[in-house]
Amino acid sequence: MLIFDTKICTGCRVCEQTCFQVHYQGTVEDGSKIKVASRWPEKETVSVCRQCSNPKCLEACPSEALQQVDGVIQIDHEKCTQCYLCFDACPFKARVIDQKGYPNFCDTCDGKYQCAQMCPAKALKRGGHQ
Amino acid sequence: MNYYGYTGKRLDIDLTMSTWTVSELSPEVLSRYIGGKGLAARIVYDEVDPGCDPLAPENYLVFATGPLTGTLAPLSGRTVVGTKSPLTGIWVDSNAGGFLGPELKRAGYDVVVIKGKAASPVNVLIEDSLISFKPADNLWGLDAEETHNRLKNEYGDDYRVACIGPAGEQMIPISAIISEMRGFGRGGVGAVMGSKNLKALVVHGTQTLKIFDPEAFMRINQEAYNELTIHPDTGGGRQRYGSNVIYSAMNELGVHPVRNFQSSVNEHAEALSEDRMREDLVVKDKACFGCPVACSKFSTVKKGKYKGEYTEGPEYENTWAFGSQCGNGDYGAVVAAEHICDMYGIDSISAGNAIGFAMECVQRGIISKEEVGYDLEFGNTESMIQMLHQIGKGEGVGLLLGLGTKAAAEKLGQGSDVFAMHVKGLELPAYDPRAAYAMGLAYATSDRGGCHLRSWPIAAEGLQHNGRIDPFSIEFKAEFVKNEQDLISIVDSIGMCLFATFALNPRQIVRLMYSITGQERFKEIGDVLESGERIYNLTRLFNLREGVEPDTLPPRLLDEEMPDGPAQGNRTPLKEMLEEYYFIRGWDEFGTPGQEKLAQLGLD
Repeated sequence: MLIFDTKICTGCRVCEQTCFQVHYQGTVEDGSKIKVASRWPEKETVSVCRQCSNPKCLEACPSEALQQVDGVIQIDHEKCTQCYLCFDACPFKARVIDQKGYPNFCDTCDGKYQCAQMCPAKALKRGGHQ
Repeated sequence: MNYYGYTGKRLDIDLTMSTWTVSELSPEVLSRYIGGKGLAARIVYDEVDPGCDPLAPENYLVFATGPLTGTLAPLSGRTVVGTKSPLTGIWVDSNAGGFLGPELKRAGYDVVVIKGKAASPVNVLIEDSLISFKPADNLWGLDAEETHNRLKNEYGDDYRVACIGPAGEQMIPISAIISEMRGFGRGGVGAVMGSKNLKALVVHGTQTLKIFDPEAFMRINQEAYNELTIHPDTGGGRQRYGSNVIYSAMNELGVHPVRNFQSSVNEHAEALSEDRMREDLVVKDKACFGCPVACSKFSTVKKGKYKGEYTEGPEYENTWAFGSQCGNGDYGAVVAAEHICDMYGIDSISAGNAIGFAMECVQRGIISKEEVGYDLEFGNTESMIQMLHQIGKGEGVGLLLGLGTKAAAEKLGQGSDVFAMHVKGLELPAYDPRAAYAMGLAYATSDRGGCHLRSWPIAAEGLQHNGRIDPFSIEFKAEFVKNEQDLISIVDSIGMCLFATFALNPRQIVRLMYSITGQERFKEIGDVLESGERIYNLTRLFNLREGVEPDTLPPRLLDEEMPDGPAQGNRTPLKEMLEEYYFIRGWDEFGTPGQEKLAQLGLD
C-alpha cells in the first residue's frame, strides 16, 4: 500500500502528473488517480486510494461494484451507482472522482507505484503490511 | 489544428468593455517565438502603440506560459508577465513559479492578454471557457495574503490566484503581482495591473494537454530528473538552503555588496549565513509545480525582536536587500521585511536597494533626519521596517523611494545619482560587478535594466569547479554573456525555471521540447538557439523604439575603486567588453541591431 508523510511533502504535484502520464500518455479525458491539496503555508494532503490491507470500501459498497483481485481493489463501472459510500468508509479519506463521475481507484501500476518512485521528497512511499 | 504541448489558444480580456475573445495562435509564431517571454514580447511589440504610457488603459498586461508549463517536465511551473514597465519605460518580463501557469494551461490558454481599464475594481475569474467579471470593491485595499485567503475561502483551494496588494492599487512603480505568495516582482508589473483596476486573476482548469511522443518524453524526463538529483547544486545545496546556498561563497568572493555598494566586506556574513537560515528559521521545504528541487522554504522567526514573523523564503536577494544593503545583521528583520513586501505587493530587491540608497543619502546629509522623521541610518532595523511600510503606503519619504532609485536620485539631486544603484531605472540586485566583470556586462545589456536573470555569469566566474573563468579578466566575457542571454531567453519562453540550466545542458532541454511539442523547429538545437537570439533582439528593438538609455552602469561601479575585499582597487572595465559584445551580437556602436542580423533572424 501507499503511505504518505504530510510533513515532508513539498506540494510539487509530480505524483499527480506522473499518474496522468503513466495511465493516459497525456491524451486524456480522465483525471489523475491521485490528488494533492495545499493550503499556504504548511498544509499538504493527498487524496488517493492507498490499496490498504483492510479495505472498508469493500464492505461499504451496496451494489457489489468493488472486488479485490490479487489484493488490489477494482471497480466495475456497470455495477457502480456513484453513491460514494466507499469514500465515506475510507479510513484515509480518499476522494478522487474521474470525469465520468466514478470513484477513481489506484491500480498500483502493476505493483510499481510509479508516483512513489517519482516523488522527489520521498513523502509518498510503499509501506504498510505487504 | 492539432497542438501538442500547447493549447494553441489566446484569451483577450478587455476590462473597459467587460468582454473577452478567444483566438487561435498561429503555429508559425509559436515555433519562432516559442511561448512565454518570446510570445509576450511579440504581442506587446506588435499591438501596443509606440510611446504608450505604461499606466494607460492601452498598455497590455500579458500572462504567458510556455510549451513545458504544466507538464511533468522538471521545474516547469513558471509563468511570465510581459508589459511596458512603469518603472523603466522599457520592456519588462517578470517571471514567477508557483501554480498559476499550469492552471492557465489546464484552463485551455497559452496566453492571457489583459487590456483596457475597468470602471471599478474587478476580479477576473477564468474557469475553462467560462470567463466572468466579479466586483472586487470588498477586496480593494486588502493586503495580498488576506486577498488570497478570502478568494480561496470563496472558490476553493484548487483555484489559483494572482493579485496585487495596496502598493499595486496605488500604482507605485516598484509594485509586484503576488501569486500563491510568490511574486512577479521586477519592473512594476503590479502597478500596471492596478492601473487597470484589476485586483485579482482567479483561475481554475480541468482540461489536459497532449504530449507528442509520450514514451520518449517519459524517458528523457527520467534522465533529467536523475541529472537534477545527482547535481551538487540542484540535488544538494539548493534543496537544503534554497537560493541562499551561494551566500557564503558570494561573501568570500567579494561579490556581495555592503551598505549600497560602499564595501564588499560584510561584518554580518556569519549572522546571515545559509546555515543560520536553515538551522534557525526553516520550518518546511516547499516546491513549485513539478519541481524536484524545492528551493522554496517556509520560515518562521523563533526568537529575538521579530519572534513570530514568517515568510516563504528568505531568498538570497532578500537576505542582501534587507541585510547587508541596509547594514542589518538580524535575520528576523529580513524575514519581517520580506513578509511586508509580500503583503503590500512590492518588489523586495527594488525596495531594499532604494532604502539602502536613502540610508546613504542620510549618511551624506542629502536627506535630513527631519525630512524622514526618524533615524534612517545603516543598521537601524526598526527604521528599515518603518520605511518599508511607508513605501507600501506611499507616505513621506517612502513615496519618493517608491518611484524607484533612479527617480528618487533625480528629485534629490546633489550628486546622489553617483550612488543610485540602478541600470535604466531598474535597481541592481546583490552582485558587485567590480568583483566579477561579466556581471557588469550582464547588467548593462539586460533587456529590462539592472537584472541578474538575463545572464548569470557569477556561476562560471566564481562557483563552478569545471570551466571556471577568471572574474578579473575581460577575455571571453562578451561571448559568454551573449550565449547565456540567448539560452535564458529560451528557458524563460518554454516555461522552465532558470535553476534547471545548472544541471541540464541545452541539448536535454531541446529534446524535452521536441518530445512534448513535435515542432520541426524544435528538433535541432541550432534552430532553438536562433529563436533565443531572435527574442533577445526583439526586446532590444522594443526598447529602442520606446527610447532606451545607452547601456551603462552606475558611476560608482565605473569610476570608484572597490575599497576593500578580494577585488580591492578594481573598477568595471565595461567599455572594452561592451564593444566586443556589440560586435558579436551584430549590433552597431550604439547597440542598434544591424540590418544583416535582423534579416538573418527574420525580424526585418
